[in-house]
Amino acid sequence: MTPALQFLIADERPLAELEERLKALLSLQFEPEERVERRYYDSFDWRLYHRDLSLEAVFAGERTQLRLFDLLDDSTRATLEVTGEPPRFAWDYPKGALRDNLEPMLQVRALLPVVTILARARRMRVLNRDDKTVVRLMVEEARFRAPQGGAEGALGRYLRLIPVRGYDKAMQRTRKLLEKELGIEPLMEHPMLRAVELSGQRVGEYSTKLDFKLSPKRRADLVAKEIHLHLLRVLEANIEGAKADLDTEFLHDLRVATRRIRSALTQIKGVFEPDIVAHFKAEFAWIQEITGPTRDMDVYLLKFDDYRGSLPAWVRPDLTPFHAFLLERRAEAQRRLVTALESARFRRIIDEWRGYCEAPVPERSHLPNAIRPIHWVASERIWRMYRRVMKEGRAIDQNAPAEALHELRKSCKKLRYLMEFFQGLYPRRAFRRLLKSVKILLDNLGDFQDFEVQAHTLRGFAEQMFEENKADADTLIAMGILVGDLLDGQTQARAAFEERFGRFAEKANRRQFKRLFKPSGRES
Amino acid sequence: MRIVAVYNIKGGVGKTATAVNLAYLAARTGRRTLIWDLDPQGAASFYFRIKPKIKGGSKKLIKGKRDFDGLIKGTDFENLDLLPADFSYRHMDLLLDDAKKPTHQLQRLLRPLSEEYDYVFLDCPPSISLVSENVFAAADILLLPMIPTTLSIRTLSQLVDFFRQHSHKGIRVLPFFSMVDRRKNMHLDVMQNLPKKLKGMLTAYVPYASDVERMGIHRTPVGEFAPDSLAAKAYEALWREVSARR
Repeated sequence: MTPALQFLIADERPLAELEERLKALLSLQFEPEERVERRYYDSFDWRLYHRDLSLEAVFAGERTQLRLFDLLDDSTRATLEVTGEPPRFAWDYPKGALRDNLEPMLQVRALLPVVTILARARRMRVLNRDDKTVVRLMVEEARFRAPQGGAEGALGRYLRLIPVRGYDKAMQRTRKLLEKELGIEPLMEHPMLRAVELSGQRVGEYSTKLDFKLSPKRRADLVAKEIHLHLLRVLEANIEGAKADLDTEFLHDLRVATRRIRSALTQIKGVFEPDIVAHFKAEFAWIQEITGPTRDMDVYLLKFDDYRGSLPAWVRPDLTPFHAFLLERRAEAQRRLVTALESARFRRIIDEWRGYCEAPVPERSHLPNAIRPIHWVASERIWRMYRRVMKEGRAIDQNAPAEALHELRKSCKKLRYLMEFFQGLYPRRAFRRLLKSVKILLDNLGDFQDFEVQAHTLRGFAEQMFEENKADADTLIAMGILVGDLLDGQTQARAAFEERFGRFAEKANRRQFKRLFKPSGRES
Repeated sequence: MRIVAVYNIKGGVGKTATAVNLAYLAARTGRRTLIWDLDPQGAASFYFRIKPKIKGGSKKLIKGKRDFDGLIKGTDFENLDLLPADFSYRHMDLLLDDAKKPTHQLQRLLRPLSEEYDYVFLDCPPSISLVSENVFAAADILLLPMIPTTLSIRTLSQLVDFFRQHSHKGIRVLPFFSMVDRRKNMHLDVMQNLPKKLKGMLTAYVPYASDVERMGIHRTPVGEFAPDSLAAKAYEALWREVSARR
C-alpha cells in the first residue's frame, strides 16, 4: 500500500483560501475544524528513533490514543488506548502488541516526552462517484512545544495525504494533481522530527559510544582534553535524569562516564600536570562513591525478578520482605544522592574540570607525552596494558587466589577503556575483533567478581534484616539459597576462566595486538 | 489482533448492525480495525458503500490463489477497513470441505493480518455450518446478539451444548440482548430472569430502535448520523464492555 504523504505548504495566505483552492480541484467532503494535541515519546537515548519509530499520544479528554508508528512512512505498528499519560515503562503496559514492541527496545529505559505538536486541523475526504471516500486529506496549522515549559513556536502548515486501502489509483491521481496545481513536493522528514529540531533539541544526539574521529598526529594532551570533554558532557547530560529518578540508566550512564574519566586521567599518562591528575582523580573517585549506594540497590532491584525466578516456586513468596527492604534502602540512598548531586562540591568539580579541559594547551610542555602525537602515546599505553594483562593472566593457575583474578579484571578494564578511547586510530575490523576478545574475557572476570560481591552483599542484607526484625526464618532461608546459588555461579565462572583466557591469549590474537599496537620505528 | 465474531444461528437478530457499529467504535478510538463481511447478502458491505464483490470469488481466496491485500477496501472512516462480501460465499461450505483442514481455513487466512489490525470483526451468516465452525476456531470473542424471547433462550442453550461438545478452547462467548422492546412484557421478563444463570452475559443491551433501521438509508453507522440516539449510546456501552474483556 502507498504510504501517507506530507507536504509543507509555504504559502502564507489564510487557510480558508487554500481550502477553496482544494475544493475547486477535487470532489471534497469537509469535516469540522478540530484541535489536535499530539505528544511524542522516546527514551533519553532515542531507542525508538534509532529504529525509525516513535510513540505518539493523542489526547482526547480523559482518553489517550497511543500509536507506535514508523517515522519513514507513518505506518502504524501497534495501538493502545489508555487513561491520561502513557505509562513510562514497557513493563507497565498491558499485555499486547504495543508492549511486545516496546519491551525489547526500551528494556529498563523510561519513555519521556520529546515534543508536543498542537494543531488546528481540518480533515477532508476525496469522494468518488458513489460518494465513497477514496483518499483522505488533512490540512494542519501546527505549533510545537518542548516538554516542561520549554521552547514554543510555529511549526508550519502541513498538508497530509492519507491513502484509503484498496484505492491506490485515486491516491496517485490526487498526489499528481496537488503537486501540479499547488507546486508542492512531499516532505521526506516527519513533522515530529522538525518539531524536535525547532525546539532546540538534537534528534538522536545522546550516545555513550566512544567512537571519536582522531587524527593520529595530533598532540596527545589536546586529544586527551577532547576525550575528557566528551565524557564530561555525557556525565552532565545524565545529572538531571538521575536526580529526578526518571529511570535507572541515567545514574548508570553517569557512573560509567565517571569511571571512564578516572580511567582516562590515570591511563593517558604524562599529558596533564601530576597535581591536576591527583586532585581530579580524588574528586571523581568521590563522585563514584556518592553515586554507588543507589546504583547498588538498583542492581539488586533489577535482578530481583531473576533472583525470585531462580528459587523453587514454594519459596518465592518468602523473598517479598527482601524486596520491601531494598525499596526502603533505595529511597534513602536516592535522597542522599540528590543532596550530593546538588552540593557545591559536585558543581565545583564539574565546572573546574570543564574549565581545565576547555583551556588551551601550552605551546611547550615539560610533560613527557603532552606534545607527542596521540597515535604513539595511545599505542604505547595499549601495548603496555596488553602485556600486563597477558602477564597477570598467565600467572593464574588452579591455585591462584581470588585477588589475582580481581587484579586481572582491573587491568583488563583499563585495557578496554584505553582501546575504546583510541579506536578511531586503528583499522576498524581488526580492532573490533580484538576489542571483542577483551570484552569476552572481561565478562568472565566480571561474573567471577560480581557473583562474589553479590553473595557477600546479600549475606550482609540478610544480617541487617535480621537485626532490624525485618526477616523471619523463611525469608532468611530463601536469601540463603540465593547466596548459595551466587557462590555456585562464581565457581562456574572460575572454572570457565582457563578456557576463556586461553582463547584471548591465542596466537592469532597475540599477533594482531602486536601488529596494531607495538610501537616500532621512529616517531614522526 | 483480537478477532470478534458476531454470530447467531438465527437471522434477523441485529448481527450486522452490531458488527458495523462496534467496528466503527473500535476504529474511532484509534484501533486498526477490519470488518469481514462473511454473509453472502453483503449487508455490512452495503452499509459502507462498498460493492459486495471480491475478485475471483471465495474460490480463489480459499484455494490460496489470492491474498487479502488486493481485496480489502478502506471505508469512509479512518482505521476502518472492510473485506467485502461476495455472492459466491453461499458456496463457501463446499469449498471449505475440499480444503486440507476444513475447520481452520479462516484462521489461516487471517493470520497474515495480525500485524496490521488490532481488531477483526466477523459478520457471520446465520446457521451452524462449516463456515461457523471456522469462525469458532478463529475467533477470540463470540458476540451473541439475542432477542429476549423464550425461543432464543432455547437457541442459546443449543449453542452452549455445541460448544461443550466441540470444546473450542480460548473462545469467550459473550451473549447480549439485542432488539429489546421495553414495551413487551416477555422481553422484560426474560431479561430479568436470564442473566444470572448465564456466564459471560453482558449487561449492556441494544434497544429496538428505528435509528438502527435508518442505517440502511444513511449507509453509515448509527454514531455518524444520530450520535446522541439511544441506539448509538447502547452500542457505545456494549463496546466499552466488550473491549474491557481481556
